[in-house]
Amino acid sequence: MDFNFTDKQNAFRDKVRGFADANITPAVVREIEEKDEFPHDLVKKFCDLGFARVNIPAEYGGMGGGIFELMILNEEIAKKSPVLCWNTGNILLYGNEIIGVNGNQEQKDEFFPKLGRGEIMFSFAITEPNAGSDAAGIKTRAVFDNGYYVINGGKMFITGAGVSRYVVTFARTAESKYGGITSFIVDTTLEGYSAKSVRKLGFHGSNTCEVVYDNVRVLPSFILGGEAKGLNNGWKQEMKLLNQERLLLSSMTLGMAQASFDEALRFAREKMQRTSPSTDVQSIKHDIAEMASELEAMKVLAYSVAWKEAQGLNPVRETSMTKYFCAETAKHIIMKGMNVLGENGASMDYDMQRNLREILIFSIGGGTSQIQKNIICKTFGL
Amino acid sequence: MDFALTEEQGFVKDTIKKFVAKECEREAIKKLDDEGIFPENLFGKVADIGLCALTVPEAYGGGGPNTLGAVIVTAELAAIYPALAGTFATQCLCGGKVIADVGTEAQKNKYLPGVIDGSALITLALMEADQGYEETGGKTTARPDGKNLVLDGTKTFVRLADRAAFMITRTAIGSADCVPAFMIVDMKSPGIVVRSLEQVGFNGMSLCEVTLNSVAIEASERLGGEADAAAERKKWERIMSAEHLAVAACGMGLAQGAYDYALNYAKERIQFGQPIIKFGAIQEMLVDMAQHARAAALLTCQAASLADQGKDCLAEIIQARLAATEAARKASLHGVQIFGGYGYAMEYDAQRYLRDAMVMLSGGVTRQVLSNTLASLWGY
Repeated sequence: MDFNFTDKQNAFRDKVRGFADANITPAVVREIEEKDEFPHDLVKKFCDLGFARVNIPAEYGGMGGGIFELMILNEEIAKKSPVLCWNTGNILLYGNEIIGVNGNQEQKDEFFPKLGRGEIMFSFAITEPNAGSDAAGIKTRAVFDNGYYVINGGKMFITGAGVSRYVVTFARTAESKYGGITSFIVDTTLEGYSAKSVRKLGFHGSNTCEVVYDNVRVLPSFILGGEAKGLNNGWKQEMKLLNQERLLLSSMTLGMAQASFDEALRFAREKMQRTSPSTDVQSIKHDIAEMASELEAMKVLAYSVAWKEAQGLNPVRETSMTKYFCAETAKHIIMKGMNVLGENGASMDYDMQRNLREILIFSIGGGTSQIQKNIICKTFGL
Repeated sequence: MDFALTEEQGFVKDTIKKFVAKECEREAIKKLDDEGIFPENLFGKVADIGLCALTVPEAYGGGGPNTLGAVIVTAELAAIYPALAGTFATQCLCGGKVIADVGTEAQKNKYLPGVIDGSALITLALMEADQGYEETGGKTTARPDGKNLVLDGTKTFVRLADRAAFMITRTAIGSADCVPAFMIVDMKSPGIVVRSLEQVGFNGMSLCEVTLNSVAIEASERLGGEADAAAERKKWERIMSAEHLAVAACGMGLAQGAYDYALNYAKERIQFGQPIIKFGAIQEMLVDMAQHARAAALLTCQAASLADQGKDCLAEIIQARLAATEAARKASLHGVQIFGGYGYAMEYDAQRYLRDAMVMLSGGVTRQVLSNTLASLWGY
């Protein structure tokens, strides 16, 4: 039993913190929030420091990092700017991970170097207006015609789809619900592709889009993993990515809950100094104690499951537990923080309101809390 | 425990329901909310049909006291448009009711007509930016100066201070540790600086910081006239009652509105081949929302009914507030969850209910402050 991070992991965390402290200032966060535009400059700085290579294999010039490095990175960045986790997820998760796990040799050779330099980004498109929790209910269709797959349909809530060079698009290529889905690496410069940003409650600057495919013609070689391996194999390919995605999302909630706890603690300390000694503040103190305890439980759970993932134990059940537990618990923590901040809980001068707005998506995206609970039950045969 | 609506209150409920159906259009409200515009036109119409007069006694040209009626109006408005409800509550349940409850004869005659026709908004200014975990701040002072009182201090989280004609504020006479007293301040007085505070919700209904730099008011503007400490404490309880009841009424309505909105969506949204309302997990959330909304409505309406019977009911009102803000919290959070990705999209109102509920939750006091007040009222 060893709950310590390695020296290398600690050094990496320090490096990420250094980047975050220097570049993600409150003014930068505020600007992204107000403009609601993809922060290209900030992402460039991130890439210039080599972070885009963190999970690219060493033989492709990457750092060869795994789930721990990704979680540490996302946890630290989410403390300051959760949306930057999504922005950089367009490289790390939807680019490096998807290509690394499911790409063929040709695709790795083509995309890794460009991803690692931050020259291109990837988006991931499965959700449709009428296929959310029921993700395999997608209607977007790809039909083979004259040497190309012709894609028609629409996707919804596709993060980065207006700024990414490629969108890994799930389309129906056969009738079988799960066995008839293929993922295509769609070049967004192709004719017939269009993306429009959706205005939303939080994560301003994520460029989350509604996407339309109007006769987009894709070469078979752009099927993820190649045509031979990838055709009608999209669902299985996706299953291989779920643990990573859910653990990464959970690591962001760690950072957000930590930042909210820190803000609440700082605020309570100051306000208690102005409170008369005869006023009872035990209930505020206990809010703080509960927040701290819940946060500790989140961290231990998330990193212990990451350890199982890193050992190759494929912890599906525990990953769903983590995704559900961290999203809901972080929400509780932030709600308590709102109470601690009292009249300032809803004030735009504090991060608490942003963290509450933003934490809510973690119970929704990447499989809702309800879906996670379904998965957990399934592993018990229920 | 019976508090059936009177014929008059039934008529009020009918009137406001018709008003909401005819005038409160979701798309128009979304636009006002998006642009942070004060719903001047809608508020004017609410006043025009006489609803602001509900808390004003008949002797002063009103239709009251009808606190329960005013609560019903606030809740019905909050179900679709919390910022309009908050504005109405500020005028009718807070300003109007406080003047009617504790004002002097001269003050009632002077201020209540402007409450009735909506022409003179009266807001409450009770909090101070540097106060502790307590129900109010105590640094604002009123210094006697001949026939006048001179006010100095800063109040914060004052609703609609940038539009209000008057505000009722808490001061200490002489120095900060002396007897509290309440003043009616003309917002056009020299020495007043109003700064709008940015909030995550209730767009259009401003929350402001108000600085009083040696603001002179006539001694006759002391709310309810001169009184001893015990009488001032009573006044404070009436003011807090008004404030907490306004929040309770908004919360009760918001909870119901968010529930109805999510219920409708859950019936229409199809996943896995059936409406999502057929899933137990969705049903459980909706049931939870409905139950809390109903509990909030019962507690709030009963507390309003006690107020109409002239009973001391601060404790009941605080309980109603706690239940109503909890109902609003649950309803808005579950609402976003039931809408899923669309709960996050600005195109739908699930996010607006949530943002408004956040403002209401923070709303000036922590649960700890409300608990402490109840503990003291109940002699713990």
